Parts: sequence; C-alpha cells; structure tokens
Amino acid sequence: MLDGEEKLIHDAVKGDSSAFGLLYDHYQPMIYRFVAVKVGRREEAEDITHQVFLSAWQNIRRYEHRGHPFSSWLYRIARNRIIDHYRSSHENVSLEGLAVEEIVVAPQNAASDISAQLEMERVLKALHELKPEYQDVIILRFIEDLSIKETAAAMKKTEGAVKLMQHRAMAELRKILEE
Amino acid sequence: MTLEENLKKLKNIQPDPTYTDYSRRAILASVQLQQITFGKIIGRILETAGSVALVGLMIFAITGGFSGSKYLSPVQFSGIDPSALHAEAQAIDMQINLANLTYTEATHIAAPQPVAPLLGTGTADSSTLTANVSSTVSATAISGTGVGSASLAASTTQEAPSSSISINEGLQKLTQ
Repeated sequence: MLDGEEKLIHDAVKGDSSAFGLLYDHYQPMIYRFVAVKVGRREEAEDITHQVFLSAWQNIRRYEHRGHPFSSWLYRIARNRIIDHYRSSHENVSLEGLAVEEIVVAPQNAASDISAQLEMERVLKALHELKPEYQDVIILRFIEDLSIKETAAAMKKTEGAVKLMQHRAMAELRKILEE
Repeated sequence: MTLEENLKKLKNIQPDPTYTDYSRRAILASVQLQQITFGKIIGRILETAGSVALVGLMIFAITGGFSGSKYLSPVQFSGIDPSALHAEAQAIDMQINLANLTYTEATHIAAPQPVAPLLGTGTADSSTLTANVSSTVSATAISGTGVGSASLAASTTQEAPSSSISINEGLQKLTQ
C-alpha cells in the first residue's frame, strides 16, 4: 500500500490530477503486469491498462474506501475490462497467439540464461491454460505478492474461498507443467 | 527451481516507459465524469419539461390572438384614477378643437370689417384689426401707402382668401 494513500485518494476524488498521477505511477506497473499475463500480447495489454486507469480517473468520485487497498478496486476494473475485451473480440487466447517474448523482460543478470527465459515462457503458457479465476489468484498471490485478504477483496471472494482456489490452481498448474 | 520461484520471475514484466508516459498524460488530461444523482436526473427532466411547456404556451397564446395589453395596460396605481385621466384627456382634445373652431370662425367673419371702415372713413378700427391678424397686415399696408396696388391686392388675396373680395371692393370704391 502506498504511503499516504488515503490522502491521495481523497485529493483525487476532489479532482486533483497530480494526486491521481501518483497513484498511477505506483499501481500502473502491477495492473499492466496483471493484464499482460492474462492477455499475453503487449499492445492489448497497453490498451486495456490505459482503459483501466482512464475509467478509474473518470469514476473515482464513486470510489468508497471500505478498508481495502486502492489496488483492489483497480484489479476489479481490470478484470472486468479483460472480460469485456474477450467478449468484444470474440476470440480466445490460444497458445500459438501468445507473444511471450513481447511482454517478458528478462532480468539483466540473466540475459544469457536462455533456459530461464524458456522456463518463464513455459510457465506463462501453462498459466493461460487455467481457468480465469485460477489465473487471477495465482497472479495476485505469487506474482504481485498480495495477501489473502487483498486478493479476496480484488476478486470479491471470501478469504477461505481464495485459499481453496489458490490450492487448486497451483495443483492444476503443476499438473499442466508436468505433462 | 520451484514453481513459485518461476512465477516470481514474471514480475520482470514491465510496461514500456514511452507508453507509460503517453498514457499518463492522456489520462490526466481527460475530464472527470460528473456524478449523476437521482436529484440531478429529476432536475434535468423538470427543466426540459418546463422549457417545452413554456414554449408551447407561448405558441398557443400567439396563434390564439392573446394580447397581454388587455391585462397589463394601463398599469394600475393606487393614487391614480384611470377614468379621471381618461376624462381629462378627452377634455383637452375638446378644448383644442373648440379653440380651432373659434379661430376659424373669427377669421371668416372679422376679415371684411377692418376694410370697410377704412374705405369709408379713411381710418382703421383698432379693435377690429386686432381681431384678425391676417387682415390687419393687408389693411395696414393699404392705409400706410394710401394707394391701391394690384400686387398688394394679390398678396392679400393669397394670405386671406376669405377677405380678398372685400378688399377688392374697397379698392374699387377708392378709385371711384
């Protein structure tokens, strides 16, 4: 959670664009990552991420702080935008359509580690074979390091349901990777 | 390497800085949507309905020959009696008309009078002269010169047609 987040949100609700700019700077990379892993294409990820923050800025007056982090609200918008994206495009992401090399940026110290790059691509493709809800829980818990509570708020689930989904999702992902 | 560690490496996915900068500026430059409340919706509906009703009423009134002057004019003041004002206005018009009538009658009747004494006695009656201004001018001109003049008679005729016959008769008497 961002320091002084409540104050920034309060100012942004009143129309302070610079306050929202700080929120954007903090949350945009993680929302982009969430979307990119889900859609698998850089350009689509950029478009959807832009729409997420545009929608957040235009509707921030409706935001009500209920004890959850601001990121939960953004993740919910992102999830809905991704669903709308697939509904409007009438297509599903196929394994062949994934442009993993476009979205995955290898760390500098592992530039020569081709096997690590290939392993990441393999995991990403396996992730896409999961149900959308399983994808969400794995991305939020293991890539974004959100707590159970934050993940539950973002997915509008109970904490118990998130724990159960996480267990099932990881088991299924391992099974896919072993095949 | 465990599955969790591989998933952690996906954190290296980062947006393009150029895209980030462009997107940020575009979003912050956009206008926030106004919050729509039930009260605002009702207000808009009433505003529109009121405008339409007012325009309709005006069109109906205009096409139906409505005149606001019947109800709005004259404006009623507590200290002024409209009927008294109307009567006073009527009286003023009457006085003007009567004054014009008196003047016209005096001109018509008095014109021969100053000439006839002048012709008979050689002097003009001052009371008669003052009764008719136009006749006074012609009579004074005649008495001053003591000579009949065709041009003078003509000018006198133009100024006071009603008295021109009497002057000509007077001139004829003078020449006799």
